[in-house]
Amino acid sequence: MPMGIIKASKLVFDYIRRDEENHVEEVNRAIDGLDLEIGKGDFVAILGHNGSGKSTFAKQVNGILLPTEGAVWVSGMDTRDDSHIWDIRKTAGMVFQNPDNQIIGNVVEEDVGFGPENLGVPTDEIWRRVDESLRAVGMAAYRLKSPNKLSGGQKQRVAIAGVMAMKPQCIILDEPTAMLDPDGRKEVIRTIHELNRKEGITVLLITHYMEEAIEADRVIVMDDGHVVMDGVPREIFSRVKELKHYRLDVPQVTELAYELKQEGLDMPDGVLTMEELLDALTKVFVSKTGGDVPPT
Amino acid sequence: MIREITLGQYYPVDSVLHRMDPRTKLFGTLVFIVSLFLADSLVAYGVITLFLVSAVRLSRVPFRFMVKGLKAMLFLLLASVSFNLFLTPGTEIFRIGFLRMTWEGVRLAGFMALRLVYLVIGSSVMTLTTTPNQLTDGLEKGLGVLKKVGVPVHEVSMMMSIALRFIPILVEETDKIMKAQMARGADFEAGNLFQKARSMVPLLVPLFISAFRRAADLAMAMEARCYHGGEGRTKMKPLHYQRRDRIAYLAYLVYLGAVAGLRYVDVAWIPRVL
Repeated sequence: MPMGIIKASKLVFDYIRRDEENHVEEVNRAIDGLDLEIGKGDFVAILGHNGSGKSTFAKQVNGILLPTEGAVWVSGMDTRDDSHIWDIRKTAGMVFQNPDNQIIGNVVEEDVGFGPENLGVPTDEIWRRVDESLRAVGMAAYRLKSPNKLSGGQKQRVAIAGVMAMKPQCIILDEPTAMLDPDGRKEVIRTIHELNRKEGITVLLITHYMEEAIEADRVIVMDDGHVVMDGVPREIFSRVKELKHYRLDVPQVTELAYELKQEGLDMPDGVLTMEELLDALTKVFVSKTGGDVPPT
Repeated sequence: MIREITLGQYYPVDSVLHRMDPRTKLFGTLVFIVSLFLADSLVAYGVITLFLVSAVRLSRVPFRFMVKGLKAMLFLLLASVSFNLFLTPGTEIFRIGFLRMTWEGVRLAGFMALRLVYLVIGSSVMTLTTTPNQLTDGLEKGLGVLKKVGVPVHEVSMMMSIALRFIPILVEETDKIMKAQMARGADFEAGNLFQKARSMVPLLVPLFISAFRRAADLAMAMEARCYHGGEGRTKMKPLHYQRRDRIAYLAYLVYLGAVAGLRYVDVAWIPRVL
């Protein structure tokens, strides 16, 4: 079996706090024996409450943090190998939470060109990449604007374009929607789904909004530095009780269907959308009233 | 109110000066400043005025924007004029106590004022026609030779452009913190200057903490996008000299030659005024 684009094996990471004399004051184990493999072209959502180690894992993939024990491979390259660090960062681009703190350029197009500039890409190729990436995220009309004039969702799309311009195989998004309003959130999620579908980019979406994980190919739930659940969304979301145990909020529709089932109604497991819930309720209604179609 | 602060005073119109390479404009400003200090005759000042007027006309920026910068200079201007008026020895016009106004003083003060005014207008021509970004780019490339003697030219210009990017963000944040503290009863208006300064302390502490946090985030984001210094870096918008830049350099040469010539060539028909 070919190795996935991202592979972590027995990964352990400690945050070490030292006092002024460089003595270890406190060791915080953020990741504790993580084994994970992510296939090329997948859209994977990693869920977990605060402190579950999900953001730490994201930084491991990009080589910003290096493993305390175990190893991470990106496209076959070990992140601990210094000579590959720029290749790894080019292969697995990263988008961060705060849109303001990751835009370097004073003009949108210059910011998108920042990555390729660092990689030493020739000037005309930079322009081509900037054009392509801005079009891919739907921000071509704003290329000459100042980033300060954009909305949060637009800034995040610029940040995504900035990563795309480095021609990555994989994008890791570390809670990209945490600071956005609902509209901006939808905008960003739609954009990364499109990139995944059209450009075949592997997406690793780290989030604590369950709604954003519904359309993923695979959902991974982390708790306390481990992977505790791993599967397709429908399967994961049918385990409502378990999710609650890991302090995650289940989508309202899913929770309603789950509660109804607990009350004895004939509901399927893992209801994800409003339409599915309506279908299931209609079926229940029809079977109880004997054929009359209820008003919608 | 605090948001009205704008940095750089770029005036966006399309003109030859706007399209000129920032290095050319930087060098031109330098030439202009040097020429101001070389000039010692009315004729030389005439040449300088001609040069300045043509630069202003070429820039297509309304003249009132040029003189805006003078307001900030008013105090300095008045001080230098009055020092020159009263402290220059020579033929006395009148005296008040120990202050003697002399003919020589009047002449010197006049030229000094002219020099300062020209200096401000001349540098305004540059800042009004060049965006802060172009300016940092120009500085990086123009001072590139200093890299050989160990001056971190790329790093400094990167810092400048990042500072430019974050100034509006930090200004907005200051505004937010101020409002949050005013909502809890803080008073930034009352008291004398000293008390006002003291009331700024609780404003600066959160602002600095946030600035450091932003800096750490930004550094991580830059590393994630493969930033590793100026080494091996290409440019999206490299600077190239055009025909207009070569013409400008030629004009500088002629201009500086004329002003310097008027100073050092001893011709009887040029009366020295300084």
